[in-house]
Amino acid sequence: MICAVLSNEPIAPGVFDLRLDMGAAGAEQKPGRFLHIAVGLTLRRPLGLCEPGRVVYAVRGEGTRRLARAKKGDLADILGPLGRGFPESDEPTLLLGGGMGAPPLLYCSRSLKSSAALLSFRGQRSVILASDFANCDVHIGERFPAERIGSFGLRRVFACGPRPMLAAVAKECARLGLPCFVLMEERMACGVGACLVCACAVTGGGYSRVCADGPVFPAEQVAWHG
Amino acid sequence: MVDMTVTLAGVRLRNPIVAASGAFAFGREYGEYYSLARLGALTVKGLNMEGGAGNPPPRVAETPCGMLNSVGLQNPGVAAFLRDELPYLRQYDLPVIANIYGADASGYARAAGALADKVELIELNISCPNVKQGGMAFGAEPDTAAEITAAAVAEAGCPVLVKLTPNTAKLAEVAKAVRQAGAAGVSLINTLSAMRIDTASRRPVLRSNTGGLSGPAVLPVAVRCIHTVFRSADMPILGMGGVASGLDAAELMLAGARAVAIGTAAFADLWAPVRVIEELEAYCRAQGVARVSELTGGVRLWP
Repeated sequence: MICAVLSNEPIAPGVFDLRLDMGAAGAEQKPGRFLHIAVGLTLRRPLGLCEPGRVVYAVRGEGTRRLARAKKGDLADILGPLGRGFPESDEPTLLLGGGMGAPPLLYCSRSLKSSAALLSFRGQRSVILASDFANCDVHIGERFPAERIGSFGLRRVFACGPRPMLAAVAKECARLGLPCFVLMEERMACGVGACLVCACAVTGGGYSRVCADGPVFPAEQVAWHG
Repeated sequence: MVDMTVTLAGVRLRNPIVAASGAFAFGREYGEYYSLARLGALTVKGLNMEGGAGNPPPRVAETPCGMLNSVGLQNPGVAAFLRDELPYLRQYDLPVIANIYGADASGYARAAGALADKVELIELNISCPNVKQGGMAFGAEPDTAAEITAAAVAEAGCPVLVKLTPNTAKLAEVAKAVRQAGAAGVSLINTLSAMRIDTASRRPVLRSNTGGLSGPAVLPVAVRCIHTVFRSADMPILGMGGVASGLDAAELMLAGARAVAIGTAAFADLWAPVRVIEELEAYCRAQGVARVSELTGGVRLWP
């Protein structure tokens, strides 16, 4: 799908907010799904939806550097939305984000009637989107404060962030008996489930495909040390 | 009208463009986007008798004009393929090429025997750079390549292609050896053994340290390898390596390929195989070529 760039502006050092005119693809957009964006290289870049027609991404390498140069009116070559998103049932949910894990959770917060968010960032300068969440605690530090999960009194958790954070969240949720869904990140190629490069080790052995079986998985399905 | 049909190792294809093994799984995912019957043939993900879990991630790394992969032949096994995947492909009028591997000659023979007359072609993978066994160690030497080929051909009920590695100084000898062992043709090239290092962490980007290089970066290597085998071994060639356009496909055919497989190009452009067919046909029209098969080996070498 070719769609127009509406804007692509920095919102923090090295972090850009890209808005696209997605037109008819609107109905297929769901929290946790991703867009596979062509950047003129061998591989597309998978970026999680932050809201319909919106992705917030950090410049990490050549692909995102190229994407950051996109200007209003440029045309973007998008595959998707792809992948399986977060569960759609409307239960009260605690949203846990680490760094660039915040954007997909903002999309969740828009569709959940009742939620709270705990977002963790390495430093004040890297805080993004926190004021857009309805009910949000911000933690600044190197380590995600997973021990605070129980204090929110919510019965379900959605989490997105660096793998060590997700592993800590999964462990704490298992201890508390809370259902927990995690959005996994992995390098991808095809994005549609064919090439098997975006492997996520799963409990019971073997690998699932992050692009097609995920990127959202029940936390207990992930082999955290696999 | 250009006659786009070709014959590869005795099998008639409606056009020369083939889905390459590994990039297209068992067809289902791409079948959501276009009819697989538009392809010349589809090569399925590498199969063995036992199935395999594959390598730990990261399995992919981008490179200038290409990528490395180290999937490590993750597959459900031949029996699950026949039960769960082949029926899906059979809804299309489409020749199926089964890519197989084994830990030794008898492993290849058993996989070939289990697939016997159920597919149109078998492609022996003796050239994967990402596994300890069933990989390019077999394909680098004429003797082992011939031994595996003979064992598989004896059990297969269909023509056998042997997929060769460019990671050998003995390419022509290996091609001749597998032809004498009964191969109906060869596929080349498999990926080039390669490596990238993350300079910040000093770790290889791939969890298995090394992987196979594919994409436009390897196209000239493919052209040279195909031409070497075309001139020295006189056998049908399924060419592959970095093809992303109709002109790339024409180049491999001019070097000596009868058909051309597409893999990596489909990652940036899911419709790449369909587009390449149209571009190749346009090239033939522009060149006044009535039959695409006339391109095979049509390079005009300098004297």
